[in-house]
Amino acid sequence: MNKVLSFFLFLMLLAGVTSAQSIVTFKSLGYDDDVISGVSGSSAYFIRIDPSVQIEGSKLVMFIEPSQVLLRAHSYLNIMINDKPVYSTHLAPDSIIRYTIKLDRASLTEDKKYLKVQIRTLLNVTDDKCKDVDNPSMWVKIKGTSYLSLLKTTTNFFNNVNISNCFDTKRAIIYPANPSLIDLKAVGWVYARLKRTQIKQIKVYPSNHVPDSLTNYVVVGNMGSIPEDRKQLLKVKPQEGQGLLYLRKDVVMRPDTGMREVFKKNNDITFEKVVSIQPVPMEVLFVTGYSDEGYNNAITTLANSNVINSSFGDFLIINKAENTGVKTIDESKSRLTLKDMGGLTSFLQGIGSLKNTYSFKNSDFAFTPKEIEIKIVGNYANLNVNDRGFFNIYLNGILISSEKLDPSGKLNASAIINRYELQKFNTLETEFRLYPGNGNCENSFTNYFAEINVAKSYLQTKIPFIANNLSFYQYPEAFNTGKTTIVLSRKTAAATAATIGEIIYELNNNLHADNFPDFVFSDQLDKSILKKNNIIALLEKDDPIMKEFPDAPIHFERSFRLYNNENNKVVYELNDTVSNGLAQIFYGRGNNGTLIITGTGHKLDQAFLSAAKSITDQLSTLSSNICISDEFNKYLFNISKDSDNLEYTDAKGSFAQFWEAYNLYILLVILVLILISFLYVRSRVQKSQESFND
Amino acid sequence: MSNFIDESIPVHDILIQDGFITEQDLVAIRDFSDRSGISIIKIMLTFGYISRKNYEASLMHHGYTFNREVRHEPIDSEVLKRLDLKHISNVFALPIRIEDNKVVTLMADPTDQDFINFVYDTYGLEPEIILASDLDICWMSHKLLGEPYVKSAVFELMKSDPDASAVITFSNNQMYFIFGIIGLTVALLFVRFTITAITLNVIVSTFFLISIVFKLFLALTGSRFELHQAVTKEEVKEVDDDDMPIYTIHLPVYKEDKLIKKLIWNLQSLDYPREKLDIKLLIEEDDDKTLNAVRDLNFPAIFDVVVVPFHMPKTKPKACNYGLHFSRGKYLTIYDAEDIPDTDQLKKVIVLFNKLPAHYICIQCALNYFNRNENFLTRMFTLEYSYWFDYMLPGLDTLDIPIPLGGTSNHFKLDKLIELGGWDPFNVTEDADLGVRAYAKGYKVSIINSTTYEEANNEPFNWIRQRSRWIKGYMQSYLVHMRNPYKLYKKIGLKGFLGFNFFIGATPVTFLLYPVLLSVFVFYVVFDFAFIKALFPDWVLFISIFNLIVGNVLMVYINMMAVFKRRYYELILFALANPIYWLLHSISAYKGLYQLIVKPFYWEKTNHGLSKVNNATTK
Repeated sequence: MNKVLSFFLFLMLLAGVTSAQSIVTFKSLGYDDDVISGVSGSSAYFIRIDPSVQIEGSKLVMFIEPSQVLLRAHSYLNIMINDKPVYSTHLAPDSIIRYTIKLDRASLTEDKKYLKVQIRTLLNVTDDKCKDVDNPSMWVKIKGTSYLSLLKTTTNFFNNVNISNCFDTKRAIIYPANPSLIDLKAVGWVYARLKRTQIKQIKVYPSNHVPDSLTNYVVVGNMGSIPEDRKQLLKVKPQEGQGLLYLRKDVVMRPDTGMREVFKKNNDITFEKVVSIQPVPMEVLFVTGYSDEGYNNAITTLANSNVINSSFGDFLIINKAENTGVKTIDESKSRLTLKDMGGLTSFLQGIGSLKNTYSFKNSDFAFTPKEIEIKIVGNYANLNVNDRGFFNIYLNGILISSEKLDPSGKLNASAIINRYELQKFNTLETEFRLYPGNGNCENSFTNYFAEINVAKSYLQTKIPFIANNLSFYQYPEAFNTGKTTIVLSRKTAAATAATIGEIIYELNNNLHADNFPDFVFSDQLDKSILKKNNIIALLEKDDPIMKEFPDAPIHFERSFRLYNNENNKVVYELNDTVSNGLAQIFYGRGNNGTLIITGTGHKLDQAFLSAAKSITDQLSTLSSNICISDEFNKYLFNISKDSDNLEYTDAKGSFAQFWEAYNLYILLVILVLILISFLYVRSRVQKSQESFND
Repeated sequence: MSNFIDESIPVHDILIQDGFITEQDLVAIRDFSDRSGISIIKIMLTFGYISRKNYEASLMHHGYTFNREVRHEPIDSEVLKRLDLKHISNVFALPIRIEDNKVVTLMADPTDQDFINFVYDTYGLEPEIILASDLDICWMSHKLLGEPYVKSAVFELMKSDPDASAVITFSNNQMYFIFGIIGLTVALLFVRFTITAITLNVIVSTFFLISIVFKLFLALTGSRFELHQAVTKEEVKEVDDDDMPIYTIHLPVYKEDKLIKKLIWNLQSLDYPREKLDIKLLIEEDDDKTLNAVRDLNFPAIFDVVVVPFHMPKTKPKACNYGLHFSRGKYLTIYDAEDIPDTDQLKKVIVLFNKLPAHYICIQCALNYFNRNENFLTRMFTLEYSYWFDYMLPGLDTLDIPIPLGGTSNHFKLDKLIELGGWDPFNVTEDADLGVRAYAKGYKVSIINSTTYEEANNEPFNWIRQRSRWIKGYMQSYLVHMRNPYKLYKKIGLKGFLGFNFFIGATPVTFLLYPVLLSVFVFYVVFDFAFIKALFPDWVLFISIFNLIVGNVLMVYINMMAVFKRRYYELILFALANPIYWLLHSISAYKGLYQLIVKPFYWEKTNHGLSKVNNATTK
């Protein structure tokens, strides 16, 4: 009996294990509690589904918290997946309502990459809709704890995986232990591509420090530098001058960690880890080439989204690669349509506030804009004579334009954003506010509708923001015009692999994605380049090339201190033993954008990376040109070359040390000298005196 | 050694024969000689009757031969012991040894029967006369007989009032104090740099502030009063020549051969009875250049040569002290070689002395320059002197603070001067020192509306030499009088004490500090050193900026006003160049300080006669 029981238990456990899921909460995807308010409203989520997920059997669990004053019988919730309704209901009386929706292949978007979830609400607090409009208690909250329970493929792992979509799951890049410039360039471009797939943590390892647990990664290096054991994984070998992207897929038996839902008595759910030996898919993407030429071709291809997105096979041999022709948008990069910004034409209807949200970055333009002209074109339902209608534009939550809608039904609104309203990353909201004049909301409810034409509406800038000094606010746009060269110190090059990735990502993290920098080691640099090209220098602190930047606000190669303006206290002092990333941005001799990043301490890679990450944050209100950061903190300064806040402590150098050690001896010597001069003067005085005393 | 002497015809008759003097002249000379005890030959040669050249030519014409090598004649000290220099210097004759039972005697007038009789009386022997130039005789007399007088000139003050003598440059206590302060400051700078530096800064800034305020106050006070006591032309006209006392003029010169002719010519035009003038040209023993220039004068001149025997220190006050022994006047004044006094100056002074209370013992004439537009330096010099005489001195006078006398054209009552111990031969600005000593004894100095035109120094190195001596002298005077500050305070009162400290004491210190502060300022402006900022807390910065801006502007402004007052409008803009001019002062101050230690009594000679401007009447 016991044996039978044990067998069943084993089967149950096995069943549990086979149903091990990966749990992805909305919060982990960046969607915290989201409030839908107003009479009718909606919220939408695009969730990338990686190819290893078996969508059949996966499920979506939504936790929704409604306002407790809603008339439940008259309040409705609709969940739509892939624009199709999958669930509609009255709101239940619970404080938090749980909805579970089973997913299948139809749930995915056409390209099978995304799950589009939309929640639409129609809410009532009273019987009178006019009273409900703008009633602040009209809300439901979509909890960030909502999650996707995704099944991992156990068979047919790789049915969906090919070069075009394999980047979504990669978490690490491996490069040769002694990387060449091309290797670092390859790391940079792979990193940038991974980061564009919204992978949060991208690890970069030299080939001699690769952890065994890695199953899904990219290997870069030309054929000569890929270790023999890895090389054997390549079924296709590039020929002379050829580059190769090769996706190797294997299934290996490995201990794998899964998650299992555990229901508790009070209906709470927790997850617990389940470890088991499982067939685990192993994917390795090789970016390689027969020689430097071929390798370079492979990297260039990597930078070309058009080619990558249409590579549905497991390998791609590249004979010739170009990165021209990838420009898809207006060449001058001075105009962005709402469509470029990712806006979709959406039909809005109802009364009260009808909003759309769009976001854009300064770097989407060719230059940091000084002023942006907004033009919004759309249509709306004709207003009756007494109806009131307004069209508002908000930038970063602040109302910047409001105009009364006329009965024509044609919207042609414009507004100007000035430099002070603009941030590095911006949110633009458009809002129709419509109210019936006769107070009869019942009838007018469905009469109001509006739609913004995202293709014809645009943001346009003609005047670049020009400041005497460059600041991080203008990064990376300052590097978008002209050629960019990345200068590396040979000694620290290996530590800068991830940083290069961050930088390439940033340079191309805009709608144009067309910045292909050159790479050069500092000791091979033609110095005239420092005036000609935009320069991004990732340098060792003591690199002699540091002296070639006379316009740098701070000479990083020297020891320095920064003082607080107000109380003259030291706020930062360079210390070689602490791992800090230091970054500064300024105009070079040729008025060219120049960014220097260096690091101190033992964890150089982290130091460099933290600096590179810190300077890309939302810094709009700070015209800072110096950034000092470590793993946890960052400090931003605005320092000019001759600033009082800056002091070089190495000005005294060895003398200072000598001074500190021997100053008392020196004092003693000086006092003895004073004594000697005293005796000398006295002897002279006495001598002159004595000659007359005789 | 056979000399031609025609005893039948006295030398003065030869001169009458040759038409160099008249019978009336001779009568007047004899009369003057009888009254004064001065020999006929001396009166003829030093009161403008005949030039030495003519005298010698006339005698030689009559068969006489001058011995030019008398300086090498053997000397018998036993013979000299019976002589008195004061007598000898009046007769132009000198017995030097006994040879072949005769007294070998140098004589400028070999027929001077009075002196021949004196030799008989003194030695009981016949003289063996050697005809020599009066200048050679004078040179030998002073060299051989002048020692007691020159010793007195050097040591008189030192013995009678050692506290007032600058022979001790630094007293022991002063040295302990100065070096103690330096040592302490250095030690504190090492231990607590910032706070010590700030404290030093505050002290220096405050010192400058007080100094500026003091000078401004002086200038304001001075500007309200006319400096000089006016003596009108009418008063001068009323003076009766017969009532005039003997007036001694000292002309201390050293290697001024080029200027002698001009100097003597200028003095000829002084409006004063010839016989009442007692002009002493004080020539150093080793200064043959000047002596030969005197020898070569081709016109009759009114002055007496006094050769100052060699003795250290070789300074102007020593020479003047020496000259005092041979001075006959009631009053005495000093002119420099290049000076051009107003012609009625002596009479004006006498009139003023008669008007003033008895305790006025010195009258200072205004000084000005006849070459003021020659170059930058002379312009700046003129600016400085105008400011000095029109603002500073009246200010000091009004506030009753000791007036540092100018080096020339100060007229003394001779007896009072001797009472004060004469000049301090060890002090290189003996005049400033004398001013303080006179003040300490309750005597007063007045200033008169008569100008002496001098030559402004027009050559930078020469200027620095002169100025370094003046500043060294100020340091000397300050150290001398501050040996016992309490005693000084008691003597001259609080006002005098403060005035002395901020006028005599502060001047060298200001110039020593000026380049240091200027460098700090320039470094701060040009290099913007942060550490300099740390040494200037806000309130110190305010004082410093006030000193820098207001101080400089005020000093420049007062200079401008001074030349405006004198109507030298063309110099007004040059007042703006004062900061550069002050830098020259600083160089001189450092040179002076160095010399104060290494050779305190060294007289840094100023070369005169460099000016190419000759117009003495520039006004």
